[in-house]
Amino acid sequence: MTSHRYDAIVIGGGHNGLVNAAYLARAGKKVVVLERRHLVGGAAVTEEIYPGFKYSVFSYVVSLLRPEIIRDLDLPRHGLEILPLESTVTPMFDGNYIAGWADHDLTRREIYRHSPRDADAYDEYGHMMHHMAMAVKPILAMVPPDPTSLAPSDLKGMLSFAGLFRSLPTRQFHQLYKLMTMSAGDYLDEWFETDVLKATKSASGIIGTFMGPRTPGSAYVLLHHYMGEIDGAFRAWGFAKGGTGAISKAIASAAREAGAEIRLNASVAQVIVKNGRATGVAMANGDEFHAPVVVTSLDPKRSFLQLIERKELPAEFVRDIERYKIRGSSGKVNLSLSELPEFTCMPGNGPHHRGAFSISPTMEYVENAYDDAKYGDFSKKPYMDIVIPSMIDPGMAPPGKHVMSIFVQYAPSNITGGWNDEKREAFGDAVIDAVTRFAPNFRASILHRQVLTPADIESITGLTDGNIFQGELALHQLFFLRPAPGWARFRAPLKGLYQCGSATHPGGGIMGAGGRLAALEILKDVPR
Amino acid sequence: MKHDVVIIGAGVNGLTTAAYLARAGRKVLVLEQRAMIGGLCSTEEFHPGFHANTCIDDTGWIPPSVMRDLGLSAFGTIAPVSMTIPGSGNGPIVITPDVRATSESLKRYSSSDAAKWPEFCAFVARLCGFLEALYTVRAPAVESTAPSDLLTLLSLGNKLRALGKRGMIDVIRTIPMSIADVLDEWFENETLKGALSTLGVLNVQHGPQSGGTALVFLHNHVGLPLGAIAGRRSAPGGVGALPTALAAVVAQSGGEIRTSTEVARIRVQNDRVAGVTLASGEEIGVHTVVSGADPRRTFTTLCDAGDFDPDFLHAVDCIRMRGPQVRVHLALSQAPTCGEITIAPTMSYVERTYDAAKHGRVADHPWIRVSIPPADVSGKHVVSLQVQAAAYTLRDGWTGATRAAIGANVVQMLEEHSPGLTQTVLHCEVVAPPDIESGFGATEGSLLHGELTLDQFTFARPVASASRYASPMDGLWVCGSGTHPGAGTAGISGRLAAREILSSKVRK
Repeated sequence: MTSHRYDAIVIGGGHNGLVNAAYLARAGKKVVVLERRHLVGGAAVTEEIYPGFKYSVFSYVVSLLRPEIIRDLDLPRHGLEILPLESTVTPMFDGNYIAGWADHDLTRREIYRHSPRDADAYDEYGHMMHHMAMAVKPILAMVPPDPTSLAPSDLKGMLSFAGLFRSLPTRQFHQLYKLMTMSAGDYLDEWFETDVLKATKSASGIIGTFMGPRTPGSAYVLLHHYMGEIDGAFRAWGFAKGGTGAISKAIASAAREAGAEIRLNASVAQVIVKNGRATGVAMANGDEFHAPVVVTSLDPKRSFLQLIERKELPAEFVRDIERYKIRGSSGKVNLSLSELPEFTCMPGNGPHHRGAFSISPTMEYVENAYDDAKYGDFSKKPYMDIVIPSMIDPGMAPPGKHVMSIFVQYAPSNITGGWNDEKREAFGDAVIDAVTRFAPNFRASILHRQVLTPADIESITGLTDGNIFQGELALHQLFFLRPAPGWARFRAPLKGLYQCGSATHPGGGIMGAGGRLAALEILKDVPR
Repeated sequence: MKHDVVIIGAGVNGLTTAAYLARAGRKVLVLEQRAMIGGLCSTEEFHPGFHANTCIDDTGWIPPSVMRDLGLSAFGTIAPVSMTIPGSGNGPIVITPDVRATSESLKRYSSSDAAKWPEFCAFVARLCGFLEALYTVRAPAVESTAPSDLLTLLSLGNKLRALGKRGMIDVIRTIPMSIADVLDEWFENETLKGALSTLGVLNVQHGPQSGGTALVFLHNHVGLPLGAIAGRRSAPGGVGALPTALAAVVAQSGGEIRTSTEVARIRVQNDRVAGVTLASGEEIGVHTVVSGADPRRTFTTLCDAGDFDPDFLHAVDCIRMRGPQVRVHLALSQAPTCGEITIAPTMSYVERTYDAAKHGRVADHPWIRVSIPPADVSGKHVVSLQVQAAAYTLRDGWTGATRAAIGANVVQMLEEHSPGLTQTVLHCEVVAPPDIESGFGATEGSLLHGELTLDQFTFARPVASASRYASPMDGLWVCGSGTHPGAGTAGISGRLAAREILSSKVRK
């Protein structure tokens, strides 16, 4: 058994863990990141699963990464390059399509083809969402105050939180309230009449959640995804050159440069607790790491119910963590292709292949997909978000060939009877059938396929139930309630223990905000 | 002018507003389109000699202030009828306000659920206590900086703080949750959870897994005594007794009520209300009109589109009405053998009834709550059912055959719990959402005058710019269930609306 001593230990080398380590190291702390897998990134990794074909295995696009992190860590110098994802095309059953392009006016022309009224509304909708996102954006950089506390810092935090809302013009305040409480479908009904437009837009309200487009709460997720689109760094959804893993690599490089140590194949078995405080971690191989600060970037179920003995934590906190909703709802299919899919609605190859395809032909289609999952089955006709990374970054596949990333909903983690090989393949088949319906040459073009169910996502990344946000982005699990009431300020009810993953405010996506805010909080507690 | 105020609709809130205004010396005229007063809160003959509560079985929460002001104390002593759930093998689960007895009844199915029951009752009572405080004041104006509004917010904040740290968190955390998640946190027995979950989706087109249905559940428990989970306040003489009592107060105070008098239009002159035009062509000049009709009907049917700002009208058009409730009344030749049971065996079962509505179909297996009006109300043997089975808009439209099929299906479902019932059915009356709309003027058959969900709650009810009973039109007010705090509370919005009207500087 070897013993090591550090100022801080970060459990998990996902993007938040790496951001956290980078900030701590930059403040002069001796930091070690312990990553169970052979590579950094967690759910933000690029892997060459089949020779020559590189997959962004899990997370595949980026837009929410906080600009202050990009600046502070100088990520472009560490190799981060974001390539724009230009468009979204939604094929329809009747051979028509609806497309959104990078050019706002081109998109309006396209919408006009379906509904002149919606083309007008699209302008106003864009403005409104922009204002909403701008209004909410400061919250992303806020440490959530505790509304039940009368401590001056909490009162001040609550006042500035309330002030944010009260400073909004009345109409915008009420729009924001609607976004916080409605379903994406109902919210979009207030704006548009074109069904396929609503189906495609509402999809960003369901991604990563166990909600349908008609489930109240999904409008917030719509906003959550919208926030990235307006941030100064890049205008729209983007794709990292080299795949999503390149983002993790860039952050890791920045962390290393600042002095952090990153250990791979280092699996943490337990947090060591002595006299009511976390003093280090014990590894699966028996080694021990000691530090006055232990930061977990894992989801709270794993952190608090598996790595720590229950008796070390308050019973109420443990109950809150047990109650924390973390249902996995999505799967991923990664493919190697011999040729590009030719969509019936847009024959031939063209610029649309450099963008996304959304399989969301009608509201009812997406809602039906959800209905399957509600009762414990995968969607027979799933909603899908498809990108062809090799069209954006040619290095992702050998010449003449392509890779395709298909994000699929719904694949419930609690599928009746549990996931097995047979169900995984049936799920993969359903996905391929559903795409082939719109692109007849698709099935024959597949060279390799990697199908990932929530169970696979969990076993590879460690994310409980394969939930990509480390817990649902539902109103009762946001801000000062994330991940548990009273413990939203990146601390844990154990001295020396901190949390920084997507299960902390402000939540999922490759944002890095949790990692950064946690580091700033830690530095307040620990003298520099 | 002969009258100071015209009130449209003699429903509970219209009559309450009328009573308060009449007692304050206003000359009040209430106009009711139906031949009888009561609106959705009516007890009627549906078959010769057979009576039932046409639309709703619960008079709702009448807060002490209204009871005291209007002398309705007789309604305050009603012991709530709770819920009987046919169990699966071990006898029924009977929920009554007697917490210990209910626990005993649960023990046969789950000792853990039985043990948690008292705590759950206290939890519901605690959260409802906060809602009661919120409901008895006008909707908070969140963005206002006027001292009176800040005081209201502050006092609500204090009410919240008084619940203690955990109580506060419980309120904030629970309200946006789905009732399925809440019940899963407390209980393990599917039968219990299935039946309780109906209170989270009652009269709204949602399933137990929809976010915000926990609020609906809590809302349906406001004003009920501790332990009266799923309780229903059925007035002696039927729910129609409440409007009758209110009408008596109106009459005593000099108010006038005219039935069979339909308002066709609210007349506007120089950007303010000038009176109403009746369907008969008669015109009544008045400077103040208070509408107890639902907001959609008030602002889009009874007014001209040109009278309002397009943004306001758009907001009104966006109110989700969506009545999912079908009422079935059975006239029977002899008493049924089943009691007042609830048929909703699991939460998935309830969820599926929502799926049917969502996709515009009639549910094959609706959830049902049976009520058996006492003989002094029904006259003879009657079974009345709340059947949440469908949507206002059906893909194939509503026809006589649709109604008949629902009736037949429901009778068949009841037969299982009351063997031989089918042979005793003399008449089956099905009241579908379109019938509620045409018969009572409730848009889309919404018994709530608009879904009572988080986005259509307090300061957003019915729409943000009319949440304090005044509308953007000078002289036009709203007071019905579509306003804060909404359906299920009796007379609160009427009382609050009257207070706003009396304190405004309107021309008499």
